[in-house]
Amino acid sequence: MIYCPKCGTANRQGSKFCNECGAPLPATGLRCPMCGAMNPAGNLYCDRCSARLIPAERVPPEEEKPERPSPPKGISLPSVPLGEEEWLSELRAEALDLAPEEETPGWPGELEAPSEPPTPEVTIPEWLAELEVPAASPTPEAQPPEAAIPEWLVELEAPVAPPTPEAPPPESAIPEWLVGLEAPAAPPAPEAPPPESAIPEWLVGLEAPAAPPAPEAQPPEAAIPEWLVGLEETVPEAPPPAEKPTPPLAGIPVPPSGEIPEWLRDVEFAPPIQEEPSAQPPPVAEVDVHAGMPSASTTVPPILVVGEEEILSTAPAEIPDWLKEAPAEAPPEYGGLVPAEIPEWLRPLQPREGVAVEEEPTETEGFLSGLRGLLPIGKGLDMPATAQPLLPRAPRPAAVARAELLQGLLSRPLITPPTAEIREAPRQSGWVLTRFLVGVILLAAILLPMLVRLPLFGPPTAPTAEALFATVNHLPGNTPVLIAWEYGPAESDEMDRVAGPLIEHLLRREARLIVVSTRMEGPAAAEALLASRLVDPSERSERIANLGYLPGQAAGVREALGNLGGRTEAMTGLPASQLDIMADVHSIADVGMVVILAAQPDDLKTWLEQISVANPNVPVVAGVSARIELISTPYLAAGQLRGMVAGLTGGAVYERQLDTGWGREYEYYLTSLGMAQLAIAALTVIGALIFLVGGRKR
Amino acid sequence: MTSILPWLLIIIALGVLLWTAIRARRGPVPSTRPLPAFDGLPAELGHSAESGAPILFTLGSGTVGGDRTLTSIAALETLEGVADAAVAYGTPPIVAVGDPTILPLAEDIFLRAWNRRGTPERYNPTTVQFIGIQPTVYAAGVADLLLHERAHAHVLIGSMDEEAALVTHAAEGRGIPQSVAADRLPALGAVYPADARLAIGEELYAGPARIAALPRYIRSLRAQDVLRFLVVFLILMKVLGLW
Amino acid sequence: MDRLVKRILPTSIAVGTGLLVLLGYLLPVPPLASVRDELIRWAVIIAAFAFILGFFNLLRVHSGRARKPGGIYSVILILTALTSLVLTLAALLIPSLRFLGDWWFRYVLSPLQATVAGLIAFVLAVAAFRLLRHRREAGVLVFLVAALVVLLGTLPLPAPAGNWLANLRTWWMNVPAMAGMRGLLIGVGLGVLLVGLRVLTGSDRPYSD
Repeated sequence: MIYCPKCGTANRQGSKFCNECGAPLPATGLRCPMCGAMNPAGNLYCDRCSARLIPAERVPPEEEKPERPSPPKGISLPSVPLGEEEWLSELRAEALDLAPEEETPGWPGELEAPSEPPTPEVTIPEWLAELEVPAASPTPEAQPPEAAIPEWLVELEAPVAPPTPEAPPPESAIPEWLVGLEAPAAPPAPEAPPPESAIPEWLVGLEAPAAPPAPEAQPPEAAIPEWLVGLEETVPEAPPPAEKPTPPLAGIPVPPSGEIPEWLRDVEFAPPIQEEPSAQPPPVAEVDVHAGMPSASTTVPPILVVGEEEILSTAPAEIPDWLKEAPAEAPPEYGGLVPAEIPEWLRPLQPREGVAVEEEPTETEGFLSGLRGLLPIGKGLDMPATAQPLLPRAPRPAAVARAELLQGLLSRPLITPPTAEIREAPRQSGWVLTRFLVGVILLAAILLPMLVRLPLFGPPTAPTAEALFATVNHLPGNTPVLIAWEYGPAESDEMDRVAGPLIEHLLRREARLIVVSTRMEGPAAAEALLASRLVDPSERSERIANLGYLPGQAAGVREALGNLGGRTEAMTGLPASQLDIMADVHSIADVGMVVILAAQPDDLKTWLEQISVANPNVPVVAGVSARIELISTPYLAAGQLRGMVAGLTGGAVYERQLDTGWGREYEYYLTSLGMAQLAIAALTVIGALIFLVGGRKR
Repeated sequence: MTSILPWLLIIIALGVLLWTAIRARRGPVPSTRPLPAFDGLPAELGHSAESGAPILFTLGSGTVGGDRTLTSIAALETLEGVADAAVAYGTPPIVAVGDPTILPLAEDIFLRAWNRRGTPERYNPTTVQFIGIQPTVYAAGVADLLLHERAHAHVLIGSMDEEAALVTHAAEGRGIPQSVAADRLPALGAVYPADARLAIGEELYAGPARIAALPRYIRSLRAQDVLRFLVVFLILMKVLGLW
Repeated sequence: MDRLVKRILPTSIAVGTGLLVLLGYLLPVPPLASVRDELIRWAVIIAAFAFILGFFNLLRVHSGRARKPGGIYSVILILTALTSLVLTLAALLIPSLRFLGDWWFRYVLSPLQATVAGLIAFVLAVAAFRLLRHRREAGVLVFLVAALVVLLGTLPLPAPAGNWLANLRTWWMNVPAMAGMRGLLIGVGLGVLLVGLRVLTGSDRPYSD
């Protein structure tokens, strides 16, 4: 099924337009993710915007790749510059290939699901992969912990348990990037081999503040790594620095003296900054980075490990040569650490001597209390943004005009909706005069025969009325005649002149009149005429049965024709079966004739149709209004009607045949009718001439 | 023969209707020729919204359950085509009905329109007015509405006879534009001289297709055209003695 | 559930009953005919209740209009409607009071309706006078000629003009007018047929969304 995007109606597969609202339906195919256009199912690119419809398959990684030198492990300072960006270009290419797939929208049902969902693969450069140092330490204490932070860093913050005997550091390969690192021209190292546990140069001069009291958690017992143990034993005495350096460990909480590792015990720690928030941080001593680097004899933990493992691994590694060349003795104030010579490329980063370094303030409030280096609340952060005052200048005339207009509009009172006035349409020229003249002419035409006898018209002729007269004249006495009284007061002025002679003729023939009507006002109109035509009112119950209103039009007629005896007499309220007049009349089959008195074509048609089904053999005659004479004539020609009297003319002819005594009245009516018709014909011609000559009005 | 004819007619009509439905699924919806009586309705709705005066719809004296039922239903469908727009503009029309059986159907049209709009509380129960069951009384009542209510335009679509002349005469006297769709002969003779856009005879049944423009209405018109040609063909065959 | 109640259920009832009534007319099977008659009887009873709705609608509209300028006519209408209701009920319940109803119908309602019907002739005359004011088409000329032929041909004018006009009128009524009328009725019949089929098949639902 295809669902219409406009109204949601389900349409059959293959439909192009919605069956409900006519909106075009999206054909089965692919919707472009870029422009939304529908494309045939076989398209690879959009016909409208040429975007790719189906994500490209992942380019399989090349199986054969040129060998590259494995990058050094450890801290990122490769000794050998890496070749261009072959690995980078590979990464970039892979990223581009991944792009269309990442842009694929998730429109279910409209996109053909790819057969193989691409799985992005991230290729790890070899230099990154080789940074992962194999865990070769057999000692459990030397095993790298699960946490990312190495133990030596953890111990900086928390008191460390008494050191446990460390196993000798295992031999591990020196990262290649450390190989070849030239030791700077450091002061001649003592002949004594550099201690394996020498503190790195960069840690020289670091001072840790007094540690705040640690109320809670017991620091986990952590063993001193082997490489640190060795460092302590072999660290030479560093030459005394020129100046007393600022302890670089300022701010770091100092563990209790009992928990300070051995290698840090000789390090002086500055007092905690928290007590002196405004205290200037001690200047950073100029140290020789290279000199302080761990020597080759010492093990340096690799910093970077590729993969999901810890970034920092405490797996001991072989001490590089540059560390081995460290001075044997460190300056006494640095606990044996030898200041290193700063390489040229690092000199710009070196803090200037003698320049007081602004100590970073310590946060004293909130949950960040105790931390340093936070952005100070000051300019731009604590003060609400205020708009800069506009420079005063002369406003442009257009702006002044708009402002004045706005001010004027705002100063006006509210617009109230207009009251519901009766809008008198502008009278068309001559409208009143036309109506007045037409009215006067018509009135004169109608009323003049009343005053003056005008021998303008001859006797009326109506052959159909004469035929009807003959038919009724042959009706046997006491024949039940069903009369369908289908007109009301609106048509009674004409229809009474049509039906009157006919009813009187039937009464003269001793017929029993059974009146029904599908019009609500029909029974009442029938009573009015019947009462005027009945000679002896006392004979009413023996001659007339008014069975009242038939609801349901055609259905009511059909039901009544089949069950006349089941109805109720409207005037007395008695069941029809109890009336003497209805003694032998139960349905249409028991009726001798049907007379339809209709002013509407539908009524005539309904009765004729139902009678032709119920009892086609019963003779049917009709008295109709002149307005439906044209529509009734085919029924006469077809034989469904045995006779018909139409309009005033037909009534006049019938009355003349019957000689009921209403002759003078009919003559007046006919003369008035003729005069009115003449007047209307004359008005039509005059009006046509006037407007034909005068031009068409709009 | 007489008993088979209704069956034959219904089956043929259903077949043609089905065929047009199948064709409609495979191609664009055909267009209808211009019908002045209905083409101006959308513009009149807009003008009505601008002026604030409603349009008066006269649905005639047709009843549900008689011979005029389907004419009244076609008129209701045309009314339904403008109901949403009229409600959206905030100027719902005044609808005058001449038979109480049409009254709930016409009321329901606007009730649903307001519901679709999401503001059923704005439905005014006097939108649809029952005037009178007698055709002449109904026409006189509608003429009174035109003379004394502030109507912007008048649309007569439904089953009426020559009393429609009373209505068109009143509208002409007020100088308001009117559209008349009549399928009965007495009404046609009465409204033809009036200053109105006319839809004569079966054009009344094209009103829903022209206003609502729903595919089912247009398919029905197409089926009507096919059946008409079929009838013409049969008449010619009979007249020429070939059948 | 809402869709079931508002759309599916009414459509099913309409289509089902329509098919039953149609088959009841077309198939001469007694059970179907009795079902058909019963359903029609129900429809007639339901339609009768619509008159009550119309009556209350009339009262509501005119009670609101009675407060506006020119509302005196609405007051008269309301009083007339209530009087008709009371008298009709009285005639039904108390037979001796039936004459009141007859009197009300014969001397109040009938003359009013006849008066309104008489206005139609006047309106038609005005319309005939202004025939060429708004339209200048060939059809208007044909309409004009047909109107004159029928109007004058109906008159019982003296011979020979009367006879000639009467014959012309007879020819006109039986040939061009009849042909046009039949063509119009065939077209209307087809339209009615298709609207009926649309309602019968549930494609048109004037009773629901």
